[in-house]
Amino acid sequence: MDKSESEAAPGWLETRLPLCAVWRTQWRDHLVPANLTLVWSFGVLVAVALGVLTLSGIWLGFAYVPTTQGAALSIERYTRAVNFGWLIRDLHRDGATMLFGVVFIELFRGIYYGSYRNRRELAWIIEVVRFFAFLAVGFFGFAMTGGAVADAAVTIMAAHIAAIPLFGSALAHWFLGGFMVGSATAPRLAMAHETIGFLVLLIALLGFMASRAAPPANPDGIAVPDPRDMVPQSAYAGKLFTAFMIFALIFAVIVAFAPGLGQPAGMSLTSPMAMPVQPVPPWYLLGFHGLARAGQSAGGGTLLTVAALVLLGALPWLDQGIVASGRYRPLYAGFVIVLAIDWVVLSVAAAQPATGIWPAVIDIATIYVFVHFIVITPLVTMLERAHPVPARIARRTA
Amino acid sequence: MRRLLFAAAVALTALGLGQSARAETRTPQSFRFQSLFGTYNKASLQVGFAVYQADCASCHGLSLVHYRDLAHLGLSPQDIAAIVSHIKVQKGVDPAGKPVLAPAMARDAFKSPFPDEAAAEKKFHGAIPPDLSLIERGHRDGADFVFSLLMGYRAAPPNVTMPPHHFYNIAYPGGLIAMAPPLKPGSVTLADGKKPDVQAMAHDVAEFLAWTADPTLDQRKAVGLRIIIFLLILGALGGFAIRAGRRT
Ligand code: HEC
Repeated sequence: MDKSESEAAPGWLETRLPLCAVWRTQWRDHLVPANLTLVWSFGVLVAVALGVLTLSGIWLGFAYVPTTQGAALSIERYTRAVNFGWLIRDLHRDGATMLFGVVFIELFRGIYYGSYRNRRELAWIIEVVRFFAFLAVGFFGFAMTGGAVADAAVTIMAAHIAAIPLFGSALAHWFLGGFMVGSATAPRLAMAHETIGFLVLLIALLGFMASRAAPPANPDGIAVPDPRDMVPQSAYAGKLFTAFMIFALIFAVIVAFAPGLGQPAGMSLTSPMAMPVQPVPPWYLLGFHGLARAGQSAGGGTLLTVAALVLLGALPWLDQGIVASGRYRPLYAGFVIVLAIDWVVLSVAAAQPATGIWPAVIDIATIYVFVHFIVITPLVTMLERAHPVPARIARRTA
Repeated sequence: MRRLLFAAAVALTALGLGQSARAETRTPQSFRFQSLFGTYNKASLQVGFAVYQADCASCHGLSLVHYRDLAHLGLSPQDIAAIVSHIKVQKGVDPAGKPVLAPAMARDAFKSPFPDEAAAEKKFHGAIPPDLSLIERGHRDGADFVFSLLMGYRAAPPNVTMPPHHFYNIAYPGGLIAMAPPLKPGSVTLADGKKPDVQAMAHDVAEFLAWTADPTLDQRKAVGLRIIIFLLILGALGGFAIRAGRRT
């Protein structure tokens, strides 16, 4: 659109609801550093995934019956009896996988490039809160599908909640609608899933605002890029398109050839044969499942999971170095890579029965998570010799 | 960052390989639908349905399947009407409270063999024949398991004491199952008048139960493939357009 044309004479609507101005200021003329890479498109992918999840979720909500018997049955029937019901269901179920895939990479992007630096602390904290809300929605979604595995998971979660000091047992009672999983539980799980699910949209919006208010993060970690190194956000349309196509392709492959990937069979009607010995949550909760198992008791598990999230949010204060980006901090970058591998190992180990070496693997992987945040991050910041950060952006990508 | 993603992917693959190496192996059977682009074999499904009707329906229900769904196996509405006309299901009660039996309709769910679990439990001395709709769900080797189970009956080894009403089966966890060998040779007749052998019956009923657990597999793969091809074309076109736009 021609600049003069869109700004010439704001119409009736525009003077009352400046939507074009939002488009102009947030996209067409919004200046961002010229060195952003493909992973910087992931914020948009989160929005796409949230859109898919919200829409498919509303349709599934029409069919879902929040009762002990109906939970699994209603959705199972929906996928069979309604044309393309299976598609709606898999857009939702595998949409969660896509969302978490994007969110995990986005979080590690933040850790790697130090995106929490430089007046971005609040944006980072909101991102961590949003992550926590995603985890909660994911858990409730898994729990509300009913069946023996989901019920076992709800029981374990109730024990973790009850371990919170002071109000824990009251909260657990409220969460279950009684002393154990019963007919009052399913409607609560469904309401929690939907309420927090919509709340997430608000949190995401706040995060976007906070992120836009601060100087833009970038892979070189240059705090305030030279104005000559800034380009309008719309210059990244091609990158966005690429990121979106990759996202859509992976999504389509999962829905077509591996529906329900990484999500336990117990999410649907349980058959005696499909019952695993031990309840295993969907893959995106496995890391936290591992932390909870390393805690030995319900209370210990709650403490470790909460502590890990708090430490993640506290990164801006744990990492006080001058150089932000892992590109110029080889030692720190190495440790972040180890952390990513550690999280994968922890997730895989958490899906295994508590025999053989697995409990030890869980313990070691858990200890490493905490060592990374409490010891390695501050220590590396103090000891490492970072490479000099160029004053200007070295490699332009747009 | 690229290194970061790569390292995570390598770790995941390594762990995944370790996993699958441990997975227990069962009698391999060729089921076309298990391959990446494979679909169900409609002829197999039809025979499998006939085997189910003849040899399983007296004990196991298929509560999630409706008679109309048989159209997916390639049966015509006339075929389905002929099938349901022989099946009597309960349709309410008469004023005296006695159940009223009437021929099933295409829209009805498959008839349950027992009014409730308690009746089944009584008949089988405590064991319950589970509903088979989802018996193969969640196991990539679900059809292989059912096939192996049906072919797995053996004489009990001398060191195993058989509890009453149990049979020795090498495919069943623990080896003791409360189901008598169900497949009766000659219980189904194909359109050409031939009678399939027990192994063929086991194969086809296993495929049929895969369909009951995942009836949309064919459609999912077909639609999915089309969407993937569409995305690839869109991606290529978009890529060219962006390139061209950049040059001008
Ligand atoms: C005479 C009644 C009867 C018939 C006919 C019968 N079954 Fe069974 N089936 C049972 C019982 C009882 C059990 C439960 C066994 C146990 O718990 O030990 C069972 C269990 C099973 C299981 C194992 C489920 C699990 O828990 O893993 C499968 C699979 C199965 N039957 C398939 C079939 C198939 C396929 C047919 C038809 C070819 C068939 N059955 C015919 C009574 C029967």
